[in-house]
Amino acid sequence: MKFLQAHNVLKDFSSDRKQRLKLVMSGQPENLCLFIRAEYALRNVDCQIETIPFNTLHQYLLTPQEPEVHECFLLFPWDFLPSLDWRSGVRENAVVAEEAVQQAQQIQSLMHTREAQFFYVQAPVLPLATSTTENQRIQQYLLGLALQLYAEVLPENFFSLNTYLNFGVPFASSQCGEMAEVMCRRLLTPEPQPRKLLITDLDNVMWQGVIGEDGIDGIKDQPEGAGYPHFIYQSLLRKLKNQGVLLAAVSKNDSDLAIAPFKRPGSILHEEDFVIVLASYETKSAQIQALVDQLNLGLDACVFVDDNPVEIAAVVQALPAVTCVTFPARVDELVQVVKELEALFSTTALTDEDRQRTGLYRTRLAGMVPVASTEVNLESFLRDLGMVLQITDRTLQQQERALQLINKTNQFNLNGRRYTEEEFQQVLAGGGRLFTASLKDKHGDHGEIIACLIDGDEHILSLVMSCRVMQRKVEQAFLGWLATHVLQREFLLLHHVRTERNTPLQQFLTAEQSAFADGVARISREAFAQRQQPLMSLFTLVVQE
Amino acid sequence: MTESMLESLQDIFRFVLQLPDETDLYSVRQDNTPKWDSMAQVSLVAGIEGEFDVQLELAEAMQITSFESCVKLLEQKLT
Repeated sequence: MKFLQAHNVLKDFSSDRKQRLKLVMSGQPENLCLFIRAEYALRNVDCQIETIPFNTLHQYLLTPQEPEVHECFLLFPWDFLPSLDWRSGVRENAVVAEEAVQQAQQIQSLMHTREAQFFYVQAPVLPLATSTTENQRIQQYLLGLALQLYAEVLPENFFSLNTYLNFGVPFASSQCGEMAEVMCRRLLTPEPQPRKLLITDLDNVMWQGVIGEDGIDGIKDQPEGAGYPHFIYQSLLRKLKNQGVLLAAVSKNDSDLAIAPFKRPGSILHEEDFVIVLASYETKSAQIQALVDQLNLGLDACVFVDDNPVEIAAVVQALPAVTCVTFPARVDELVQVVKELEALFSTTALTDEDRQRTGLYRTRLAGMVPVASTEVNLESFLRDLGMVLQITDRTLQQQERALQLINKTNQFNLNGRRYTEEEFQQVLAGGGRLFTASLKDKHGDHGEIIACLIDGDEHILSLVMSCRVMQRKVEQAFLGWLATHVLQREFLLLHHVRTERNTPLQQFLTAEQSAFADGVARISREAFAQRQQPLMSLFTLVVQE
Repeated sequence: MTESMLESLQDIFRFVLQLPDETDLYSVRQDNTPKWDSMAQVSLVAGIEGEFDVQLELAEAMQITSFESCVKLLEQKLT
């Protein structure tokens, strides 16, 4: 905002919402007042500003604070240490840093007693000590004192030596508008409430790897190599838990698998550090909603961390009040994530109750089971993803990825059977066919994520799908297309074996009304194809012969 | 100085010195305007600096003793 604009905002402005503000600073504040009043007026508040006479800040600190007056201190380094003031010139003799520090502390302790908001301009200062290092140390120390007052730090370029020396106004005229805007934003925005509950994904967040695929010995969360970022993340969560933050995990996994890593002797976090570990294949937004209801917390008290942008987007859409943080794919980005989480859970006071909170809530949640995902409508979310499903007939070529998928996938796996190259080729030589599907969406390319091996009698011998794309109805679209364009029998015949890990596949077969006999799940082909018709519109289908 | 800049300068003087709209600004001088005290001088300088993105050194600020002198100063600064 510029000078005339500020005047025009205030011209004829009136409001019933009034606020008394005491702007306390050692320099001349007049022009800043104009801009602050204009910023308040833009927010429909009639701000009546009082100021103190030039260079009387220290005297003012000795007077009692008036009730019902909002105090706002705009501080400069010389307000802590007067000998740094440009208007006094450089001191004849150098000062010992310790003496300077002591003096600054005394002044700061007077400020500490005020119920006020503080702003600190990190203005350049005159040299006090004999060495550059000592002078820098003094400046850093003063910054530390300001931060102890929870001051918002304003940049050096808000200071103008010219206007300060000539008129006693320590800020540049050209910066007044921006300065007032920054100050009003802080003055008129209520302090954000620290979040209370951190809900975290497990695979590729708490550890590197997928526990359901890589097994407990294959995941990495130790302070070395690929495990390092996850080790740091776990140690951050341990600290947050110790300062009263509730931890919960929500993972698309089997329950025993999800908990297993926390039972290892060397694990940083243990099962009892979480209020609950929810492992299910239902949508995470439904799990989060149910958890928050059980804990009697608001959704705005929650932070959700996941590495998968699709999961993040789904939660953002279903539960916009939840703060979502993406666990970074690049190690360097972890710095920002740690900062963000630290700020979201920042707290100044820590009580014994805070430290014991997890135990109390664990009791409350004992026996909670994962909920079904019917509470959250996925369809609009899926439609918004712009999914492109490419189905490829691989009977004659490029079968390596398909064989690899079949031999490593555990969760969405029809029967857990592994094939050698030779066995694989035998099936194909006997009139069998191999189809794969790859998926792209607005978040990127997921690559080849489905493989399906069919023998010459149209028996589906193998059907696997990567756990990365569960909950997107990809398997239904893929099989729906097969049922319509490839398979001819009255029934889909799937060679099914229940394994320890293929719960998602079992859920799929049950939902599709399969009849089980002699190791084969039978589903009426036409009825199945019809059921899948509506969801085909979620995809752009590309078929490559 | 453009017409709109001149208008802006007139507005700054009217706001700071609380002059009625009909005042002939070319007749306004520090010695005939009671509201033009040292604080008003600071406000004028801040308004001019902020509005026109210029910085006035002390000697330049002190040259502003009338509306007319201010116009001349700004014309020099902005060319």
